[in-house]
This record gives sequence, C-alpha cells and structure tokens, in this order.
Amino acid sequence: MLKTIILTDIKQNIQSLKLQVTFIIMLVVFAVGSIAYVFQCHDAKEDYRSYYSKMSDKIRKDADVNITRVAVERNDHLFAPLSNGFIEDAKSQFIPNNIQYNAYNVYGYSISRKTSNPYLYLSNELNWGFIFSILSSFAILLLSYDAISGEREQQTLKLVLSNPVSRGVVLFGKYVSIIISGVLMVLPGLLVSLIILILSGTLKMSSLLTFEIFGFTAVGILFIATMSALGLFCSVVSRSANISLLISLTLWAAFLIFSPNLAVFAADQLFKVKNSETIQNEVNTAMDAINKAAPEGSWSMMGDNPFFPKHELRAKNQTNLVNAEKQIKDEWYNSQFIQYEKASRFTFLSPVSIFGMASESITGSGYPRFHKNWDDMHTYQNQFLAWFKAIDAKDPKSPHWYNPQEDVSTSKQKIKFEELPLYSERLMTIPQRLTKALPGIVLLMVYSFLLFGITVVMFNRYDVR
Amino acid sequence: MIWRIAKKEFSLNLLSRKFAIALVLCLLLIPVTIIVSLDNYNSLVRTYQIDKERADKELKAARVYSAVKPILVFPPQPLSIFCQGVSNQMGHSVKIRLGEKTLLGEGSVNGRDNPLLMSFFSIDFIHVLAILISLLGLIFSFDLFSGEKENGTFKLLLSNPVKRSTVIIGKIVGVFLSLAPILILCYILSILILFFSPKVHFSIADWLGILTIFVASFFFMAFFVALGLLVSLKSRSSFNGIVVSLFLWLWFLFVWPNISVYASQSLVRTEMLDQLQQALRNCEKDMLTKKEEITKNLHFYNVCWNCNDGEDEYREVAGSLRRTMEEQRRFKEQYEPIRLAYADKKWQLQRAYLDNLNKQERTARYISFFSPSEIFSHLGSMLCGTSAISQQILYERARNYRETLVNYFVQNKIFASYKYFTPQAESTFLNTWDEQINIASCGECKNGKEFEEWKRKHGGSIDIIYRCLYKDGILENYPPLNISALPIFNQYSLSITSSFPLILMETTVILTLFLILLAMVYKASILYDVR
Repeated sequence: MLKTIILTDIKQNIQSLKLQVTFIIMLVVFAVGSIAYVFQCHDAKEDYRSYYSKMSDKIRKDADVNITRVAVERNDHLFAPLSNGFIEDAKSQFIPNNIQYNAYNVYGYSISRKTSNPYLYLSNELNWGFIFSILSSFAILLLSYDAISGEREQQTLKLVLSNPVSRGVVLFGKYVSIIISGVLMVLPGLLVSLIILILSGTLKMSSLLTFEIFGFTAVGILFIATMSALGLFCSVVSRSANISLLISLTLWAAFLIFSPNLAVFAADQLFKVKNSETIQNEVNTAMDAINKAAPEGSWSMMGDNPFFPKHELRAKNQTNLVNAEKQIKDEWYNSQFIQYEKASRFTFLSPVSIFGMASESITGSGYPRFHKNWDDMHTYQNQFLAWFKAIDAKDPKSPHWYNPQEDVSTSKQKIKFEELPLYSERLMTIPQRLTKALPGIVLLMVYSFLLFGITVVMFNRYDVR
Repeated sequence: MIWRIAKKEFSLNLLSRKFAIALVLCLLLIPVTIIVSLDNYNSLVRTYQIDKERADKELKAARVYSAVKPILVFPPQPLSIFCQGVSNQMGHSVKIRLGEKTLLGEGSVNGRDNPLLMSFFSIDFIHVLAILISLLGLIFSFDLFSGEKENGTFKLLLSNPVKRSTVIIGKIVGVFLSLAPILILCYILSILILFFSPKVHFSIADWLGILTIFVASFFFMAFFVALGLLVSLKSRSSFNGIVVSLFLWLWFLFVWPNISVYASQSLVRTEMLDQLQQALRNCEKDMLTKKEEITKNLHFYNVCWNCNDGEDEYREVAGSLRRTMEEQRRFKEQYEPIRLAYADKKWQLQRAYLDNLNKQERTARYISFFSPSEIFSHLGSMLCGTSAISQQILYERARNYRETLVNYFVQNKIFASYKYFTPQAESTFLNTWDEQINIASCGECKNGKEFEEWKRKHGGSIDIIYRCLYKDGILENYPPLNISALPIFNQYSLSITSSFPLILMETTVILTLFLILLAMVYKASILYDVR
C-alpha cells in the first residue's frame, strides 16, 4: 500500500507543472552556474598564481639579504581559491582570507578583495549550495505545501483515507514521495553541472573531491527531507491550501532573511566585543608603558655592528612590545571568534543555515577553513621561529639577541629560498570535516523527525471533510 | 462601479488570513532589518568621526606645505540604513596626493567591529521590502480571475452591466488598497525606529529621498500586482497561476540578480588592481631617472640636520645650512611639477582601469533590468546615495579637489618657496657648519676642525653636538602652518535634484515595463474566457 501511495504521488508530482518548471529552472541555473564557474575558476587561478609568484619573489629577495630579514619581515598568506568552489563558496567573500605573520607572531587577519570590482553588487555565486539552499528549498515547499490541505480541498483525501491504511502510512508515503521527487528534480541538474565541469577540464577528480561531491549531495538530500517535512507540516496546519502556501512562504522568507539578521542582532546586543578603537588604545597604552619603562639606550642602534651592546636592550624592548600587542590582540581575536560562533548558533533556527553550515564543513571552506588556517598558522609560526633560532644558534657571528621587528642583532647568513620552511595550507581532512559537519547533520535529522512527528500527530486529528 | 468592486476586494482581503500573515511577516522582518542596519550605521558613524578627527588633526599639525596631504573622510549616508548599495564595499576615506590621483576609497571597509559578522549576509530594508511586496503583490492577485472563475462567481459578476475594463481596474485598485496599509506600515515602523534613535539625522533631501522611494515602491508593487493578474488571466487554473507567478518571483528576485553579476564578469574583463599598480610603477621609472638627474647636480641635498621624510615626497627639514636649504628648494621647484605631470600621465592608466570597472558595473546593471526588483533596488541605492554612480561622483569630487589644491600650490608658488619643506624662517638659516657646531656644542667646539678633534679624542662619539640645544634645528619647536587660506573640500551632500537625472533611466525602464504589462493585462482580460 505504501508503495502504491508513493508511486502515485511521484507520478502526480512529475506530471505537475511546478515540478516541470522547477526542473527547467534548475537545469538552467546549474548550467549557467557551471559555465560561469569554468571561466571564473581559470581567472581566479591565474590571479592567484601571479600573486603567489610575487609573494615568493619578495621572500626570495629577503632570503638573498639574510635569514634574519626572512624571519622579521611580515608576510601575508592569502588563501588560494579552492578547487571545489562550484559546490559551495560558503560566503568566502565575507570570510577573512588573509593572515599576516612573521617568525615571531601571527599579527592578524583581514578580508582581501584584490580581484573583484567594488562597484559590482556582491552577489551569491550560482553554485550548488545556492541552488540547494534557495531554489530547491523553495521548490520543495511548493511541492509539498498542498499535500494534505490541497487534497482536502479537492475532496480526494476522503477517498484516500477510505482505503484500509492508517493515516500515518498515508503521510509517510507522501513524505517519501516528496523527497524522491525533490531528489529527481535536483539530480539531473547536478549531473549536467558535473559533466560541464569535467568536459571543460576544470575538474580534476580526486578522492577528496569525490568525498565532497557525495558528502554534499547526501547533506543536500537530508536538507530536502527537512524542507519536505516543513512543507507537510505547513499543509496540515491549515485546512486551506492557500493559507498553507502563505505559511510556508513566510517560513521560507523568515529562514532566509530573518535568521541571519537575527544572528547579527544577537551578536551586537548579547555578545559584545570590544571595538577596534578601544583595542588600539589599549595597545598604545601598553606600548607607551613599555617604552617608558625601557632602560636608557633601548632605542640605540648601530646598523653595521650586530654586537653593539645596546642592541640587546633594543631586542628586549621590541620583544616586549610585540608580546604586549600579541596578548591584547589575541584575546580580542578569540572574543571575535567566540562571538561569531555564538551568533551563528542563532541561525540554527533555520534549516537553510544549518544546511549551509554542514555543507561548508563538508567542503572545508568558509569559516572552518579560515579557523583551521588560523590555528595552523600559529603552529607554523612556532616551527618557523624554532627553525630560525636553530640556525641562528649555530652562527658565531650572531649575538642571538632576538628582535622580532628588525634585522639588527641576529644572524646575517644568507639562506637559499628552497631551504625555507614556507607555510602551505593543509586542507581539512575527511574525518575533521565529518566531525565539523556532524552537529549540522544531526540537527537536520532532529529537525525532520520533530517536524514529521508533529505533522503525524496533527494529521491524526485533521478534519478531512 | 470601480469603487464598489475595489471596496469589495478590499474588505474581502482585509478579513482574510492572507492579510494577517502578511502583516505578521512585516512586523517580524522590518524592525529586525532596520535595527541591524541602524546598528551598522552607528558604528560607521563612529569610525567616521574617529577618522575625521584624526585627519583634521594631522592636517592641522602640518608645519610645512609638503606635509599638507588632506585626507578626505566621507560621512556615511544616513539613508544607507535603507539601502546599503555598494557603499560598504569601498573605504570611506581618500588621501589627496600630489603624485597620484585618487582612484578608489581607502581605509577599512568593515562597518562592524567583528569582520566575521559580515558573513551573516544581512540584507537591507530595500531588499526586504522588494522581497516582501513583490511576494504579496503576486499572492494577492494570482487568483483574482482564475479564482473567481473556479468559484463560478465571475460569470455572475460580468452579468452585471459593467465593462470588463472596469472590473479589472476595480480589482487592481482593490488589491492595491489592501496592500497599501502593509506597505505604509513598513515605512511607518522603520521611520519610527529611526526617529527614536539619537544618532540619525535626516536632512530635507533625505526625507525627499525616502518619499521618492516610498512612491517608487508603490509602482513596484503595482508592477507585481499586474504581473500576478496577467498570470492569473493566462493560466487555466488558479493553482497553475500561483506556481507560475511564484517561480517568476524566484527568478526575478533570487536568480536573475546573480546571473547578471556573473554574466557581466564574464562579458567584461577587468584588470587586477595589482596589475594597475605594476603599470603605474613602470610609468614612474622615467620620473625617477629625472629625479636622479636633478639630484646629481645638488651636492648637499642629502645633508640634513633634522629631517623627516615620508610618502608622496613629504620632506621636512630644519636647522640645515643655507646652501642645503637652497638646494632643497631648487629640487622641489624642479621636481614637483614633473610629479604633477606624471600624475596626469598615470591618470590615463587609472582611468582606463576605472572605465573598465564602470563598464562592468553598467553591463551588470543593464542585464539586471530584466528583473523589476533589481531595477527597484538600483533605484533605491541611487536615491540613498549609495549606488556605484554616487560613489563615482564622490571620487570625482575628490579628484577635483586635488586639482584646486594643486592650482593653489602653483598659483602661490609654494613649490618654489622654503615653506614647502621647512618651517624655519629664511633669515635664521645658518651659513656655515662652524657656526652650527659652535651653537650646538655650547661653544666648546668653535668650528668643524675642533669638532673633528673632539670626536677623535672620544672614540668617534658625536655627543658634543647635542650638548646645547640648537633650537632652530628642532622641528617640533615650530608652530603648525596657517592653512586657513587652503581650499576646503565641501562635503558631498545628497541633493534630490542631483539624483533625479540618475534615476531617470531606471524609472523609464520600470514604467515602460509596467505599461507594457498593463496593455497585456488589458488585452488578456478582453479575450478571457469566463466559462
């Protein structure tokens, strides 16, 4: 019986106008998005390559001068474009993509938008994440809002229920059929997109990419299931299909607009962080205090003589300055991360946001990527410093007074560029991604179970007349 | 008769649950949106004030004319609360340099203290309104005809002695009237919130802007009502009507804007800022050889007692001997005009870059004209002074200001004067090194020879010349320059008359679309089969 219900419903859905329209829109957007991605991906890679070679040239020049220069000069690490940008870009335009560091400290992060036109409106990329979270969620709601209330209006619900089936089975059958229709709606577009990407040579299959594609699709289907449950819920809430529609659209708009805005609101009001001016003032006060307390001669310098005795004082003073700034700033950065994480919990009211979170974890992009790089950069910086100190320790011509800001009182040896330990991004591993995505996946499941459960209860009390 | 039909529609809608839900939706979305934007605006104002203060202080502290590099800080537009446009994508300050013209804004782009929060893609009033009223327009109109037909009431209605056109107009007016309270409520809510927030002050021009947006949003709503009607007339059942109109809505509001940006990026290629900067540096190479040629003949150019150097050929000198001062002056007199000429030369490259950016933006805008909601939000951003065009006007004004400043410098022959690089009066320049040593060492060394001797005796130390303060040689002792005669930058203020020409195209397009739509609705209604 369940099978019959599912099959008839799927058949009905496939013949319906809404599924056909959605199907066409999906195909168009998938195709347009992939073609645009092919062009953009090429450009982005070119741009990054030229940026990277410039960056390396700079470090090479420093290395030609001496090793201290390499350790002291502040460099920027700009994140490379990901090869899975067609799946989900996780608002990368708004996530920090640049970290400043030298051997002594990781100084800060920023959002670097070197490549885009500031006059253009920032928009969503037409990637899979966008299609799933906006187009397919909308289509699913349209597909499911009238599953019950619509049948009631057409008087067919009575007939269905006159068969020897329980209401739960009918509802479950409808639920499954909506999910299957939803998947049928999305999958062809997804395949078209994959084919375009593979034929254009943009995509180089690897095990990681396969994981990303399948993982994303799986989370996407789970999301479709959640949205279907939501649509069914809307359809039992009201006796008229029109009202169901309005409720589901309201919820949809609220999930898209209200929940991110609410998160910002909550962050601003509930979890305040210090503003940049306060921090700058704190840093300045701390630095002034250090400079005042510094013994006389701390600022003396003799460029060509590393062993000039006052260089030791100078190095100490500079180290104190850097440490003071580091302490204040690191605390501030951490409070920012915590604020972001807490605020983003507010968006978990919305399945769309949960889906976004899960998919950015699966694809290893967005905030998780930034945060991992931030942590990795700290590890790298410590290793880099240890490496530098080891070389410096072997140099008899160095007084070993470590000055984090200037090339004064440490080794003047030249170093080959190839021997330098450069930072390179390590992408998140599959287990890491899965653990990050797990809360989102569980939440989506809980969401669907709860919604479906409530729907069953309500449907049992539903007046079919 | 029109009035009667309208009234019936109105009262029907008012009592419906649709209306109640729409109202709740507005009450939920609008306040949160406005409060978030308001918060953002407040923090923008705060950074503006801090930056402005810093810029003013810096300018007022200038002791020489080469330190006069005014930083123009643009205040955030109060109307950006309604529509952010592209204003948050560029820095809000511009430094006026002699060697290079202003390209784009500088400084931080983040309004929020935590840049991570930018990723919560909060959308502004105009966009929320566009999403809401277009949706409501469609939902209230999609079953006007097909619904009545399905109920069988349409035949009855038309059996009355009324023209079809009267019925249509009556129905449109009715829907319009029932949506108007919601729309007005949105505006009242947001204006009330802004009214009670202490930091927001609207000028008359701003109010006019709001009024224009208000009027425009009615047109926008009318457009979607008409669209819903057309769909309702063309579709066989009200169910098909709603599906088609909702997908149109999705397409116009969510898909097409993204496609237009994507397409424009593929159609018009822009150079990277890095590449432009590289080209500019190449262009400067000639200039730098000329600089070398000039300094080759100046032997004492690099000798200085107390001097500061900085960006854009800022140089401040005090206490140097007359011959050094004179060479400094000659250098500036020759070199600054060359730099100005090269700034013009570099501008050719910069303009090509900017033109490309503009071309891309224009392409995106023209492509997005296929979506009425995009036209509406462009219109909003233009009226709010946050569109790309408004930003361009801002930078254009900054460039014009630079020209006036340059003219002022040239006319007053400032490049050729000592005041360009030293706060010291010409009469107090010392003529010989001996004199200077004498003063600085409190008379212990009478001349250069004695100084050299002292130096030899004390193992190369030159402490002796710090024994007595040579007051004229300390930059910090000089008062700042009197810059009251300097041309002042007039802050750009949004004037409603200046933004009207800007929105002309958008208005024409949306009106044309609207009229075409109305004609189609009329034709379809005449041909409509009521059975």
